[in-house]
Amino acid sequence: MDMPELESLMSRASDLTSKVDFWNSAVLWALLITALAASALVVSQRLAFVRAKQLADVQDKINNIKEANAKLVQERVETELAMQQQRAATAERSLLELQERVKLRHLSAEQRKKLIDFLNTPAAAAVAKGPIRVQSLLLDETAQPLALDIKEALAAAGWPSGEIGREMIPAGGRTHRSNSHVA
Amino acid sequence: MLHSSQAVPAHAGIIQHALIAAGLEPTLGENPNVPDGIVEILIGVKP
Repeated sequence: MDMPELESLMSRASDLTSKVDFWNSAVLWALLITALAASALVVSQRLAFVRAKQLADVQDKINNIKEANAKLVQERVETELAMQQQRAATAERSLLELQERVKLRHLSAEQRKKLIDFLNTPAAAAVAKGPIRVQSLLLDETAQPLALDIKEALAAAGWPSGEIGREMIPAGGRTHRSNSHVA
Repeated sequence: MLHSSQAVPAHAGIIQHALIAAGLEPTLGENPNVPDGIVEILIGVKP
């Protein structure tokens, strides 16, 4: 082998050595970049999981608050409904009471018979028939039919009572009421 | 209704008991304007 060829090969070897070093360095850099990218991928994935978990927690809280608000609104509506139903029941009861108060009163056939039968008992018949006056309260229009019925029953039992009068108890009251029985 | 509870007519008790027998609930009251000796049945005061 001649010297020029050897030098040429030596130069070529030196050049290739530099290139091998360069590409080895490139492989190392590529490995480093790949490692960094992998690390970034792992971190990114981990952060994605954490944020997804946090998002789920926040959404759960939002749903809980919405459900609580909806339940509160529902309870408020139910309470209002119950109060309205109670008011309606009270109004209906008041109406029934009012209807009962303004209903014309009468002596039933059974009451009439009992009243006459009592007045015809020997004990009652033994008492002298004194004067009776039947009055109906002036401002109570429901009293007049009952007064007529009682007057008619008294008359049927032999206790006449004259014309039915209308009376008004003045303010302050001129009567002294008691529940005691007379002899 | 009587003139006075101090002077109760004899037939007042009979009338009262007759009304009670009929299922009514009479209450005894005094009214000086009711002539003495008269038993007045005043209708119109509901319980």
